[in-house]
Amino acid sequence: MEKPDSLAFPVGLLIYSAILFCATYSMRTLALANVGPAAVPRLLAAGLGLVSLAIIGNVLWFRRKAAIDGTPPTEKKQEQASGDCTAALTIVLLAFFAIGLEYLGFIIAATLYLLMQVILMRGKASSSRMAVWAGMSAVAAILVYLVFVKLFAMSLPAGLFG
Amino acid sequence: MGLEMFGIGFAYVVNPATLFIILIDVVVGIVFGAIPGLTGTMAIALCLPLTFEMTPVNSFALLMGLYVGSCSGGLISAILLKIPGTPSSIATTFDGIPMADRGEAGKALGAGIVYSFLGGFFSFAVLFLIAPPLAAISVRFGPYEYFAIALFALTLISSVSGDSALKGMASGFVGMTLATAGISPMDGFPRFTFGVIELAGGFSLLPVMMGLFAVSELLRTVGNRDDDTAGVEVRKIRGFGFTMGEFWEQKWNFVRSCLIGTGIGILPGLGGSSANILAYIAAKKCSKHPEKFGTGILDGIVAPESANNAAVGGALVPLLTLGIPGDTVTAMLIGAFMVHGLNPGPLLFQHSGDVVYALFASLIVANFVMIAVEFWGIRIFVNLLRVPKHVLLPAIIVMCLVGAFGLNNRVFDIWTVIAFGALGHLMHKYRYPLTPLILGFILGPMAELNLRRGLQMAEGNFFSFFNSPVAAFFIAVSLLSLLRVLGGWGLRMMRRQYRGGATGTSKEQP
Repeated sequence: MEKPDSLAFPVGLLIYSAILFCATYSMRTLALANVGPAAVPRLLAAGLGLVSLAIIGNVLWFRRKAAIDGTPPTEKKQEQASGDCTAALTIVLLAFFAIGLEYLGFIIAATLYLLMQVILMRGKASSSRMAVWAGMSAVAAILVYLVFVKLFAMSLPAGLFG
Repeated sequence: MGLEMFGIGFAYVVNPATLFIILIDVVVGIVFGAIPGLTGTMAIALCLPLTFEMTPVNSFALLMGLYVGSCSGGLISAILLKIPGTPSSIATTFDGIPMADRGEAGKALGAGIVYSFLGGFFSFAVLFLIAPPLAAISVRFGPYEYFAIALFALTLISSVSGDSALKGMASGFVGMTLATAGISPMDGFPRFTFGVIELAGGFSLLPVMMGLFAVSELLRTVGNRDDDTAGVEVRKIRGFGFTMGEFWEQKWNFVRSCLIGTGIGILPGLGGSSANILAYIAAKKCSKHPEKFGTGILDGIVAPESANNAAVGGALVPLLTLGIPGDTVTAMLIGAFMVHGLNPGPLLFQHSGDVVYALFASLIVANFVMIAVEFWGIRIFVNLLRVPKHVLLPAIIVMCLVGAFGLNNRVFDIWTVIAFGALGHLMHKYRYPLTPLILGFILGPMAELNLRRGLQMAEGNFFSFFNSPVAAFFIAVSLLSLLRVLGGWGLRMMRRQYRGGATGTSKEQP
């Protein structure tokens, strides 16, 4: 039997739509406007809310059926938790890159990000291999910097090198 | 007259200097198209100053080379890196990725290249033969027609919703709500900015796309260390990787996609980013085997790649005949015309016919150069699949983040990439389709703007939209499409209730 869908996502969507719907009432609008700036977002938020409710209803119905049938869904919880943890760590790394870009500059932030990301994807390694990865990360960061800044005339934060 | 002028245009273009300019700029365009974060618009913006000192013919040869190259370059990253290099190649990923995973990256690339070339040629034929009458029709389109077309396109979301119409609708609504953030159209009031100044400009499409495709792919891959090598066996490529039989099977798909691409290209404000998705949806709807779409079939490559290149010539139709740009690239081309003292519009053909026909000739030559460069490069490009993912993906992500930053020189766009990456990952995890979100994000603002404009014109009376036959037709078709989806969903629910009641089991997901 297939795993029933999670309630977390549609509930999240419902909350998101409720926030948007409420926020539309704080939008300023011209008195003469036939359809003000809030009208379409309000309509969309209401539509999303209704669809989310329909999905929640469906999931609950599906769960009730599964419970009646007595066939518990098979879930690979441990594996999934490990994957979620690594994905969350990757988002943290990306966030550090975004913050580091402003303060450390592109080359340092990108080198650190690339190195940490490779370690996260490959797991622990010998110190010689780590040195190779560090070197590769620095070279890649410098290459990207040169391509975008020198060739494509884009400006990137220089940070500590500035 | 036309053929004679065309001969003169060709004579201007066929000289070593101009051909060299086209060659270099097609390569640069392909690079810009293939690198996620760099677009044809950026390439043209960057190279436009180079044209100031050139002759008009060389200027347009350069710009056409960039335009054609960047339009077809997106398919390389869409198939090999699983990230659409440009919004024009979003739909190429749907079947390109499964084909690459099966070791058929060369075949997918080959088909994409050939049909990009043919799509470009088709649009040139349209441009050459029927540009003025087509432009005259399209210029009559107003807010009613645009709203109706956008509404119709939005109702097609059900076609790209996978096995759940409800999830597709939710995804489409999320896309449309996210697109409403920023300054409202017409009256300019801030919406959903929550005190964040950068949100006043809304979310840019490129960071959204990079997050949904590139970062979410990284997040999926990091959790699976076994899936590291690009251990996909790449089959040896002969010619373009597909047979004449397969080529012939695609004839109607090709013609339909080209018509969609050219038609959408002509309509200002739509362009290749909508054309490729709509052509894909149309191909799926008309196919005898719609269930195979998304599993890696040639039809899914041919439709978007024919359409996005057909949109190139389409976008030039209103530019040359009426002086109206069809997309951001053609908006920049207006600048190039003006730099050389030319005014795009009905009189352009009379006053500067030689330059216009030289532009047509450049478009043809650029298409030939594009197919030659990509044919030669296909065997090199596929080697990307041999690079281990732990090396390839982080490097691509850095390029995406730099590209996002470079759009407006602000870190906010990097945060947008990260946030949409997380959203894309969650949606993938909970099996919500991403395509409706993209479709809603692109078409939502167009629908809203034209709905509001139309209502303003009609003093709030929505029924005025039905005064336009084109708008009435599309609104009626949209309603029918919506009713069909809701009816189908209701029927499935009833059947499920009945079956569930009879047997106590059901496998259908919400």
